Amino acid sequence: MIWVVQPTTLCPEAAPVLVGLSGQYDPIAPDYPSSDAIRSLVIECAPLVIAPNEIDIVAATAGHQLISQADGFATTGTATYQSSCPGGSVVTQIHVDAGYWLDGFVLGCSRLRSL
Amino acid sequence: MARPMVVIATAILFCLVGVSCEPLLGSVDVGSAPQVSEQMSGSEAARVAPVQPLYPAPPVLGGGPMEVVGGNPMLALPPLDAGAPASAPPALEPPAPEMETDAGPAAPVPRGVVLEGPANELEPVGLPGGEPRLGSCEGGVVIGVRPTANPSLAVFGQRLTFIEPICGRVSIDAAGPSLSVVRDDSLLTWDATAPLLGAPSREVPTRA
Repeated sequence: MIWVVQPTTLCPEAAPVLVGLSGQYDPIAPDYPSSDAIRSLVIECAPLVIAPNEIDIVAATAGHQLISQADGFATTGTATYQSSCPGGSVVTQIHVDAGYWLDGFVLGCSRLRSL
Repeated sequence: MARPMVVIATAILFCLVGVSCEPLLGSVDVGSAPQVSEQMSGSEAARVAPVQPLYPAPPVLGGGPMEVVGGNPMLALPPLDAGAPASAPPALEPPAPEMETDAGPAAPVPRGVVLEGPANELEPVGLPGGEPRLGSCEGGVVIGVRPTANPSLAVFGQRLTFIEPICGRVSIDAAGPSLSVVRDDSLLTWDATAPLLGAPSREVPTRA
């Protein structure tokens, strides 16, 4: 068993904040049926904009980019997953369940406002 | 010289050297301006340039010409043109050269951006298992991820093993209404409150 740190995947300047993760996975891992296996990861990035009230900072509904590292690990799964922040909120935390491998995750989304 | 002539000559001499002649000549008002005739012919009025006010006068109700009561017509303000826009007052002094002074406005600084309340957790992806860890960008946002994977073709390989958030700080530019997001690894915290286990291990655990 090995762990290999993969290249960092960052949101681009035009869409600088993370709003979701998606990819392929096996809901039932063939080699360990009591668990799943997440096979690939794509980050969803969005532009940030100032709301008309000049207080709220929200992720734009347009201009999202799906980004994956070409030299990062990825393989195919039997299903797809997607988790995205709603209503202009952005990812501010990731809850990870992992031991020998990544079993699952939960994204935490927050709304932003100016001081 | 006859005696009366001597007296007159002496008086004139006193007057010339500055001694007041009032006792000799009586009270004379030499300081008051001559009264200007209220009557002026049309050609004379045309030669007299009207005195422009330094600042526009407030509009006159009714829009009629301003009346000067008992004043000198030479000093009267010209009638206001109710339809003309107010003109800017003439500059009394030349503009000061641009320079930095302590009294000037403070340099603009970027405005901060904060989170509104606790994060709202989405539906889980995958299954719970292994060890729970919570990585948060305190006061910031996630701008990317650093995954770890087991690319081995052996059993339990070919899958991701961890996801670590990359944090950034959001601010509103001082120059204008635009936003900046800058990577800031110092924002990343790992919650160690039970049952969470704090920062992840970088070493592969040994299988029992």
